[in-house]
Amino acid sequence: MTHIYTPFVFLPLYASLEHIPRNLIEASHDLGASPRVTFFARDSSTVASGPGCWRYIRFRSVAWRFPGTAIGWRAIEHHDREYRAKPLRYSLRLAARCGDFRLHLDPHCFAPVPDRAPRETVVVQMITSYRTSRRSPLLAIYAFLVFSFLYLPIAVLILYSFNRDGVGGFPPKHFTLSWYLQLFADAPIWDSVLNSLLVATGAVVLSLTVGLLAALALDRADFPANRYSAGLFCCL
Amino acid sequence: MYSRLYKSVVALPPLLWVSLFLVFPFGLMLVNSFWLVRDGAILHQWNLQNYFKLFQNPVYVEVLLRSMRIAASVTFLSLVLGYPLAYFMSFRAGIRKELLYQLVIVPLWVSYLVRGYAWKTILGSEGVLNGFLQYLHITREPVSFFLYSPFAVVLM
Repeated sequence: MTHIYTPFVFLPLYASLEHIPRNLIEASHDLGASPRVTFFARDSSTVASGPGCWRYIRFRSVAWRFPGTAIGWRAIEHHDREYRAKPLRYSLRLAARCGDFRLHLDPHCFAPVPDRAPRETVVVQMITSYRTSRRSPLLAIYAFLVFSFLYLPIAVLILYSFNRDGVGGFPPKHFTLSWYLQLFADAPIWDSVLNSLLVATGAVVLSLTVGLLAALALDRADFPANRYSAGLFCCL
Repeated sequence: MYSRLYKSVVALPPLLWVSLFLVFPFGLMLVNSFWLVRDGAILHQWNLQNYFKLFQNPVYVEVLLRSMRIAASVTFLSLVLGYPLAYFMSFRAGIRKELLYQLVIVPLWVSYLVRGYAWKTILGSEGVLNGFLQYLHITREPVSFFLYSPFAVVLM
C-alpha cells in the first residue's frame, strides 16, 4: 500500500509547497529568521492567484525573534537586497550589511504604511533575483532512493520478461525473447488490448473533463464553499 | 478576477460528479447501516442492530483494528517517503523539477493488479529478493514472511 499511496501523498504536498512564494522565503531568510521560524510564519495572502497579485507575509511572529546583530552575513560580504511593497505607495528597502540590518524606506516612493495594515506587518516582495536552487546532496540521495522504490517493480518486471526461466531467482541467467514471441503469437490477447484501449480512451475523456474542471475550480473559484469542496475532491 | 458564471460553470460539473459518485453512494451505505436485515431482505426500520453486531463479534473488531493499524503505518510511511521528496523537488531540484514530477506520475498509471504481480515476483519464496539474499549468502533458505504478510500489504 505504501508503494501505491506514496505518489498520492506526494502530489498534494508538492502542490502546496509549490504555492509557497519563494521571494517571501528569501525575504524571511534575509531578515534573519531561521528556517523553522519561517516555516511557522503565517502567509496571510489576500488574493490567491494571477500575475501582479502580490502576496503578503506577516512577519509579526518572526519580528521579535530577529537576532540583534549577526544574521548570517559574513563580514567580508556586502549585500543589498531590495524589496518592494505591494501597494506601490510605499516601499521598503532592506539593507543588510556586515552583520547588522537596517530597514530603509525608499525615498523614491516614500509614503507611510497604510492605515489598515498592522504596524508590525511587513508587506514585501523581492524584486532582485533570488537563489533558485541550492544543493543538498543528502536530500537528492533520499529522493533517488524513493524513486528506486517506486520503480523497482516496473524494473523487475521488464528485466525478468527477458528471463528464460520466468520470474524468480537472482541473478537472471538466460536471456531470451521467447516470452515476447509467445505474446505476439497470441491472438486473443490482442483483442483484449484493443478492448483496454477503448475503455482507456473513454476513461481519459471523462476523467480529463472532470479533473480539469475540478482543478480550475480549486484554483480560481474563491467562493466560500471552496475550502470544503477542496477536501471533497481530495477524498477522491 | 473571474466572473460568477465562469466559476459556476467550472465548479458545478466536478461537484455534481463528486456528489453523485462519492457522497451519494456513501450516504446510501450509511443509511443502510441503520436499517434492519432479515432473511436477506432490508427492512426499513431504524435501529442500531448492525452496529451491536459489529462490535460484539470479535472477528469484525479484529479486522477493523488490523485495517486501521495498516492504514496508520501506510500513512506514516508514505509521508516519510513523500514529504522529503516533495520538498526536494519543490525547493532543490532546479530545472529537473518538471521531469521528476512526470516521473512520480508514471508509476500511478501501473494498475494495482500488475503491481501485485510484480511485488509477488519480488517478495515470493522463489522471488527476486530471496534469490538476491541467497546469492549474497545472507540467508540460506528462502525467507517466507516477505509475501502474504502484513509486511507485504504495507509495502506494496
